[in-house]
Amino acid sequence: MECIIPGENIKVLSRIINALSKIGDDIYLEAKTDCLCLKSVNMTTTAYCTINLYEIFFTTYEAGQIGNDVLSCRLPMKGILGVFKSHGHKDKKPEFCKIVLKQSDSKIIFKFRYKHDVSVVRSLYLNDGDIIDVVYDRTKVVNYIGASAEVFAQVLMNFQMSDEDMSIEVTSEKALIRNYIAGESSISKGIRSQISLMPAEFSNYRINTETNVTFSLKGFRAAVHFAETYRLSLLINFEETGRPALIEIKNPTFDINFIIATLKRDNASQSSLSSTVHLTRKRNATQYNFNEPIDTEKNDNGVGNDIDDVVPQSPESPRSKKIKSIFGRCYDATFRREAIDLGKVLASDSDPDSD
Amino acid sequence: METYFSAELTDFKTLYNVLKAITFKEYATLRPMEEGLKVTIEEMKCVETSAYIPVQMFESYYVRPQEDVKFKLSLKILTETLFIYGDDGNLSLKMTYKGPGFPLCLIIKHNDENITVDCQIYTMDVDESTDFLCLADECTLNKVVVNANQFLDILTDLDNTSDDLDLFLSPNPPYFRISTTSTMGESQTDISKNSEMVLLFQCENEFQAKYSFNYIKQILKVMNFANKVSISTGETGLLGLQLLINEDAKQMYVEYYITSMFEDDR
Amino acid sequence: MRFRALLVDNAAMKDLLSTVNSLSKLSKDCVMRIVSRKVYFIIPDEDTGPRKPLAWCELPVNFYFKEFNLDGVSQEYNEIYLCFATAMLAKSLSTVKQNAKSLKIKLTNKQTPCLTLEIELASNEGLQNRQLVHDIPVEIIARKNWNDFAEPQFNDFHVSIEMPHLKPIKNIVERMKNMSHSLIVSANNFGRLSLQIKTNMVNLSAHFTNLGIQSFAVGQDNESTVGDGSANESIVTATIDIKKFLMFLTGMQLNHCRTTCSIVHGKMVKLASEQVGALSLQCFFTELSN
Repeated sequence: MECIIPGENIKVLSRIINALSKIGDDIYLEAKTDCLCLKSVNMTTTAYCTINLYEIFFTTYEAGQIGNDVLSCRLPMKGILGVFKSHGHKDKKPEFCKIVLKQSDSKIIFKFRYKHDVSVVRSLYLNDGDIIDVVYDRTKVVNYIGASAEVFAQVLMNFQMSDEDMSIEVTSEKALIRNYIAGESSISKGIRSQISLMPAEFSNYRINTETNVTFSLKGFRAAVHFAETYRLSLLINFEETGRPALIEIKNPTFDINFIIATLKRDNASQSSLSSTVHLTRKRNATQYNFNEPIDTEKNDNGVGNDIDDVVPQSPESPRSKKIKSIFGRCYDATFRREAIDLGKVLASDSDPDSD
Repeated sequence: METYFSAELTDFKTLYNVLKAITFKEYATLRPMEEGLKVTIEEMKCVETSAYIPVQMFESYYVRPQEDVKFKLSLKILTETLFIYGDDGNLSLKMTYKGPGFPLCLIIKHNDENITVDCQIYTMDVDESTDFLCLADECTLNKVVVNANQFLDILTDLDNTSDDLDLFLSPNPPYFRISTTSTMGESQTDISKNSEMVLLFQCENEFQAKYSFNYIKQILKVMNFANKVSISTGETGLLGLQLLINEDAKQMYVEYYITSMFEDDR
Repeated sequence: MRFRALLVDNAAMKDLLSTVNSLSKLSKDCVMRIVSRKVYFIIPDEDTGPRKPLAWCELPVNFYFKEFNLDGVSQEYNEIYLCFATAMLAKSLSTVKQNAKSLKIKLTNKQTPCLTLEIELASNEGLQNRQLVHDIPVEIIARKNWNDFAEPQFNDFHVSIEMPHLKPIKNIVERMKNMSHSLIVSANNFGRLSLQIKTNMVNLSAHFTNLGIQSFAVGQDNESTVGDGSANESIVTATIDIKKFLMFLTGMQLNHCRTTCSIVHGKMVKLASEQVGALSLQCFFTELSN
């Protein structure tokens, strides 16, 4: 693969990589015939992002495909962040950047050319590993809401940086967005915030099933922040509680597809994407192709039975299993009045009729 | 009272910025000389940093003739004191040193707010054995003068995780090459002698040496305030960076010397 | 126990925010005392053994609130004492910067007692207003512990002197803090205030002159008198924790406030800021023991 990125797009790529770095520790590159694809997935496979840079993003783009094999590689995020950390931020912007990836080479080369007779050549060693692919089934999407990044940024302003999750409760009349506080013990520690938005605030608003989805704020913040820089819109596609959501950002020269797991209802833990969407591993031909979404989590305390649980379990590392059981409480629903003995009521609702 | 050294300054923002940026160590030696004041920080005998403030920078300047005036003090305290009013302007500073055993006295007036700060920074005698070699005389092999901003950009863009930095100078292309190697990859930056950022290029023979990247990083902070950087090298691999810092029509300098790392047998 | 208050004036909301922001810089937690005509914020001094306030802030109800309903713990004690993280209130209130039309503050019980802020935001495009709710968990302070938060009374100040502009003082004390832990505050009977640090490396003092003296008690036992020609200069001095003093200066960048410094020789320093009718804040710094 060989491509040349014009000066003005180097900064765009730099911001894209910055946003991706909020997700995973590695970046995957795939040289498809019509676009260069950048991907990242987080360790717990609860967030996965694909960015397609179309041919018009580049001055020249040659995929250099051999046969049916798509040329691909895996790089440490830290390394590529270093290569793109400040190029384009300074007065002297690079004129262009050339990226070269050769079949079965152990490194990828980035060449930057500056106006004032300076050139920088950076090479990064490739990591071993499979290319991961997550296939999101769009036919299942029943709900979507879309708005400019600015609207979402205003919503995020009401949350604290320490907030980890965000939940969206939708009805056809309104959307309630809250910072989800996991675990009962933290209830007394943090601010619980809720903002209600009317459908008119959104550019797209279609709710077929009233539902409530909760997902991690980390990747969402990065996506909103990125989209805000280029005045783009975000479209959040989702099904129901516990099923992954797809956040889309589109532009003529690139598109971003960000798939994010949502918290499951009641006692359940956070679902991993690998359990709820089609996941394929390329190169070593291992494929997990589930026809039905399945639930990988056993109920640790034995109560409740998810209907999905009849399908065989998907492979899962024992390590992540352990983590989930240790932090199981963290994924519990926030507010269950019956769960706690409140004892004597010190302060009753002062204004009970209003809400 | 026979004063060893006294001086007055009105605008010392740049002086503060420069001294603050080179406070790598707690203590510094101050040497008021006839031509100006020299502040020197030494680290482990392989790096030496000096700020040189020519007499022209001062409103008034006196140093006792025929006396090698030098004393040590806490550079951190001195810089904090110079910044006592924060970014507020219209200040005047007077400093006096009465001689060995006396503190350095500073009086800083805030002329808008009617505030006076007086300060005595205790001094120490300088170890007599400390030699002040003229390192500039050793760096005579090659000389390259570059625009400081652009050179700083290049240095900050280098792979941060690299432990060392390889410098290569040649009369032929690539002329000036900086290379790094780290666990993640390699980098090579080539600056042509014809580049607009190169103001002077004097190189007769090829020169190659390796330096600790950490030592180079130290100097980047003060390079922010510089206009030009003069890079010179010596026989033993000694690297000299002379930073020219302009303030209005006046100039001050920072000199930075680093010894090269021992080379692997090649 | 009920409490419900309503603000509709955006300027008043912002004043409240700026006060709470200042307080949040002084301490992690604060106590809010609500009485029928006033709201108090009390910052306890975390260091001292017997609890003593470090800062005491008073807000008159009629300056801020359009509606104010209070049912205290009892008819006899029509007051409520709450304790919460000051930063939470500051962060929740910061929403009022986004063109808030109304702010309702009320005590609710949502699993734990909460101070609930309901904010109505005017939407950008003139669409329907956005509704925002912040619940801040609070702790209700029982009647028997109210005494811990009584207003400190000091009447024996040796000097009360007007403070110069706080901003340059803040800069100076910020630098001093990097060099020393303790600060010597002194004032003389000619209107000079001095801030001084002394360490084994440096002796530095900043002098502010021509300040108004509100009161000066002459003939102290402990006063030091300097003879040289200057007719009977008397100096009152106290040595205090520089960090706490700086916190006050950082926090109290409030507009329209006049600040006074009062010293009990060798015992304590009080700083008092006041915006008549809207706000009064006092900070107490006790002499460092050593």
